[in-house]
Amino acid sequence: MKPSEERREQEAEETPAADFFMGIVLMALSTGVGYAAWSWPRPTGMSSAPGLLPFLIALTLFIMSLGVFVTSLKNRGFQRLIRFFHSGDFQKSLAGEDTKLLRFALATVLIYTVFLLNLLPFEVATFIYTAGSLYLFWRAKIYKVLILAASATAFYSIIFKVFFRLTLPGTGI
Amino acid sequence: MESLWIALREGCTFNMLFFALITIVLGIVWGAMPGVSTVMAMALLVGLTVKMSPYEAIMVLMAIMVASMQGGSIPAVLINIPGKATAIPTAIEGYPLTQKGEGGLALGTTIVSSFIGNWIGIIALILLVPLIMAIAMKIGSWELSLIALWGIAICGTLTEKEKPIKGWISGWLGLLIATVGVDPIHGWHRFTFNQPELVDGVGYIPIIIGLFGLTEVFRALSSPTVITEAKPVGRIIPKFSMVRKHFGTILRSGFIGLVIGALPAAGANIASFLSYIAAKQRAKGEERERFGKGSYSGLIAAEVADNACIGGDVLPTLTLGIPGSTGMAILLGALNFHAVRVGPAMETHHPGLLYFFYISLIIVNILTCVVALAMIKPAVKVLTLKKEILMPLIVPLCAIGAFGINESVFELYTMLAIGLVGVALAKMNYPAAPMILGVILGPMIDENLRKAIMIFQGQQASIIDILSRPVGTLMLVIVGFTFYKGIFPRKGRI
Repeated sequence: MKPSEERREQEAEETPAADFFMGIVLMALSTGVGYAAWSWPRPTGMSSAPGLLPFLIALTLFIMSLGVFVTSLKNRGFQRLIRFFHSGDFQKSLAGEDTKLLRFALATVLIYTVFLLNLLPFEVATFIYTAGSLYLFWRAKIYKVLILAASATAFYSIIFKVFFRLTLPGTGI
Repeated sequence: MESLWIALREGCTFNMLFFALITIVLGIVWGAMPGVSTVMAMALLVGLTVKMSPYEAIMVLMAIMVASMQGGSIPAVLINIPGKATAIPTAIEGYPLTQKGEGGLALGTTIVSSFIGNWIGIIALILLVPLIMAIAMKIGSWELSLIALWGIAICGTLTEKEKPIKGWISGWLGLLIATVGVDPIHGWHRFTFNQPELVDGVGYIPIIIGLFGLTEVFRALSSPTVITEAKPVGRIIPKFSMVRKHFGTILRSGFIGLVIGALPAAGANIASFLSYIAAKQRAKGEERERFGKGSYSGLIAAEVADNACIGGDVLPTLTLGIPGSTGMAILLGALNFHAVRVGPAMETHHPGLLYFFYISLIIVNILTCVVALAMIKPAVKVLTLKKEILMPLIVPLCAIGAFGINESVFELYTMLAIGLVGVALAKMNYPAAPMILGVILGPMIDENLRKAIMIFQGQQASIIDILSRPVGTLMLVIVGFTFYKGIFPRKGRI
């Protein structure tokens, strides 16, 4: 079997399980939105009600999610989802190189935006983030990482603060 | 004439030309880097245009769009990695030419073809805008809401061809996000959860940056490294006889690019592929044999269509306020921030802005051609820059862009949340473009749909009265047909 065919088959296998899950999430979301929109006041009738569009969106979204859900059931989405969690594929995918890199990327960005920029001035937070990320992903020598991180931070600070006169995120604002 | 004068006065200043030049250089370098898209460049820059005038914002965004599309051809031709989806046919024909030692000429041909393609788009835009605007002036709230709805539906269909329903769901999620905030008619707080930051709704710019900036960073960092090696470029500028020889291909590709570009979100990738296939089918003898092995005809077809698409993209954006592409949706978001409402009444509310669009496209096209020809050799060096270096450096840019608009930490978190949602949706094959369109067009649908229903009620209009409005009924049929074609693709095929 050619690699492209293998990949296609693999994708075809993975999608119904994800669709099964997503179908349920979207149906729950649209039900909640529809219920909230229906319960809002209608000062001059349904035609101008603030909940009119959200209700119509929720209704049509529910129908579409149902479509995705039913199609996934036909393609054995539920069984595939169960098999995915029980056969060790889930653990394998968590331990995979791609997932590990994604986790690193998510964690570094999360730390930067939620913690560093809330606790430190932009320049310090950005230097720590870029140095850390470059060290994790680039894996070059530490002095190269530090020089690049410091240069990038200085560049951003000068360009955006001095030239564009923007207020930068961070506690230095 | 007054409007034209205003546009010329705004467009031909030293500052404006300097802005354009700098952005074009950045755009070409950006486009030359494999794995970063034109939309990502626009998304990152849009936050920085907040402090600019609307004219500068238009010039900068048009410049980055045209230039980064141009830059995308460089890795396609030299290292067989298309910098953008539209450059896949360029890679198919350009890389074999590089292997034959004609890489420079192939790149020069893509630059000249892009220049011609852009001119086709600009001329068609200037000719067609008044015509479409005259029609658009007769369109009411009912029709506008249907046009906007169709924009999201067709975008969903075209961005997720295998399962259009996923594209529609993405668009509908965007519509849902757009309903957050104070209702424009009664002032009711919708989905604000008593959070003051949500009263004005969720800003599009953090969403755009989250979906096209941060999501791309996550995806790029979690994908395997590609080792690239650039080849020497050699001769660059093509002979005029080559342009003359492929004149028919140029005209046909320009037309394809224009038509495809005018369809909402039917991006340049469809145009370049269609045009490439058309060129292949029309080729005869030796020229046909060259396809796949290094054909200048195929290269010209793809690049002309790709760039003529820009004029096509701008057409519905300016005349109807319906973005012709994701890039145009970003531009529309930036203009909305400057309280500029595009559409049939644009010339009345913002005299000179329409002409400024034409002038900015002309300036950007000329500058891009000159700069691209001059920059080919230095730009090649950028190809060796690793994504492991580039992507961590993009994240602070995303943060600056999202934060800079309202100087709000909440928008920073919005960007982060949307970036995470974007990763999850991308893993499940839900396209991002319809969501952006939903967010931008949502308020237009909301306001116009409710206005239309109130007007119909006031007039005590029956279903027959509503259906007797030709444009509205035509739009209803088109919307219905779009959904039908998406649900039953085989049965609906003519």
